[in-house]
Amino acid sequence: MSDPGGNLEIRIDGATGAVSIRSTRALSAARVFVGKSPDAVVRQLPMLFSLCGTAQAAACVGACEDALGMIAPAATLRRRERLVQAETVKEHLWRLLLDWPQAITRDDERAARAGAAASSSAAPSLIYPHPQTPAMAQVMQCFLRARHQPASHSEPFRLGARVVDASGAITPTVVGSGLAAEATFATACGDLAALVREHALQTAPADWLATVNATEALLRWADTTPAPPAQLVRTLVAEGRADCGANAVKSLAALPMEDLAQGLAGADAVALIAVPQWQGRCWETGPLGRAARHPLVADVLAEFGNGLLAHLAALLVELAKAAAILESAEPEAPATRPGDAAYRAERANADLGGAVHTRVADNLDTETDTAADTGNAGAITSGVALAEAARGALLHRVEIADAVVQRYQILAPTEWNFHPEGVVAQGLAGIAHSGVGGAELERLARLYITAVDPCVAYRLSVS
Amino acid sequence: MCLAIPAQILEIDPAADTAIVSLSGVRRPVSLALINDAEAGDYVLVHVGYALNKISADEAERTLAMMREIGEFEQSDDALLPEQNAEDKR
Repeated sequence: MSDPGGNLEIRIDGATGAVSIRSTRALSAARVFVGKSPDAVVRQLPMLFSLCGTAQAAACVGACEDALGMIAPAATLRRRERLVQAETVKEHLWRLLLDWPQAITRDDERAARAGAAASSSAAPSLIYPHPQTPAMAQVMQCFLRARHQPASHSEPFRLGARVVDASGAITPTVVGSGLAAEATFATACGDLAALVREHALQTAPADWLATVNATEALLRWADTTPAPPAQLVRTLVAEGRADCGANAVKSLAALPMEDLAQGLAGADAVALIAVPQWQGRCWETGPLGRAARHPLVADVLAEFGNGLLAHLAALLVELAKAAAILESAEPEAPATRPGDAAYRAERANADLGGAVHTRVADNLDTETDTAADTGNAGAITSGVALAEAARGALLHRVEIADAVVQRYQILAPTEWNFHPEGVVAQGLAGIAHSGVGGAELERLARLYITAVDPCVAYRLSVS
Repeated sequence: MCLAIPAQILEIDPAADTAIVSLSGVRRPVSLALINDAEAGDYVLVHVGYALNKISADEAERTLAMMREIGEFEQSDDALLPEQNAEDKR
């Protein structure tokens, strides 16, 4: 079990510009859940896929609920959404404060850091030294406080989001402790948003979204802001690398969940999971597609294409959006019960944020009542759900019969983005053909890979 | 995909904000940039050189058991997809 997560082997031939991407990721890992109860799967899956464990948990519980005909209370759906947004904030800050600064660093500086690290231990090739960034420790602690804060009404990532009191009545004791729990959750979300202000935007997220609405505005913000992400913008522009890696692969604002669910049910499911395409083409999924309608990202895309600056701008826009949502999170009221008129009204009015999609949540008009419908004995029911994880859309599909999981499938963003002919392959080929070579080619390649962001370690070789 | 691997912290270098962990019995250096209260003996989840967060010994063992099971799948169908499919699509 030397490397259970697998990795990406990325090779660039500097002479011809040819790029190859080979994945050793454990794509059949979800088979470990076959034969288990849906309850066990929703408990165990986030432990296994823990990097984006919250988005994984949201997609998993959503798919199982879909298969079982279960409906979660609106407050629970809202909590799941908030937690996925919090995870996006944590992941995007990680990229902006740790990974991008390291990737943009030139070779001589990197060698100095590597030398310092090597003096304390023999570093394997996939382990690299890191800058000192205590801010990320604060971010992680804030996120974990929010993630592990129980909700007043239910465990947010348990099937059907069980209401605390099965009769629907919430006792004064539960209401009291529940409100305190909700207030603590809101505080943790607010603290996370405050870290975004302090370490990334240096202004209120909502104000940043409103004022940084074009390339010129981004450059003005970068020129007057000392935070690391602003320095990244200044460096890219000063080096003339804003369009670096731009290529013709389009980004999807949202994956076509039903089409892909059909594909996963079909004979070519294994190929779809390994090397996904839709309508016969490769697509990028992630912050760039999701943020493409924001005027800043639209402006940068129009001027520079989907190169480094567009990806950086999209990361900042998503970070600001998620932080603004977390900042506005009010302590939630005790839950209504599925089936109540108040429940339906609450769900219809819920600002769910759009980070988690299930067939039930997306079709409120067709919603039936509460409770699990496990179907006839032996009959297989399937369920699907999609969570917008930090790196892109994460689709889960499950088949259940007799309260046992018969099949579990995960279509993850890294397979779209690091497809052998996908956005990273095309972007790296463009960089290789642009006339740069040697250490600079490797630095720009690492930057583009970081900009699209795989969820596994990668090895890059440039010949 | 998105796997983070449980590991036990063997020793900590506070000055460098790094630790040596035991990953499947192999000593590996990791950054502690994301954790501020780690101690030797703690179990942590490790991903691309970062310790992400602490977990209990019980969680570590349950997760490692699932990973061993996955490793058996991967070995048993090495001759099958997805890599073969990936090659076919190129």
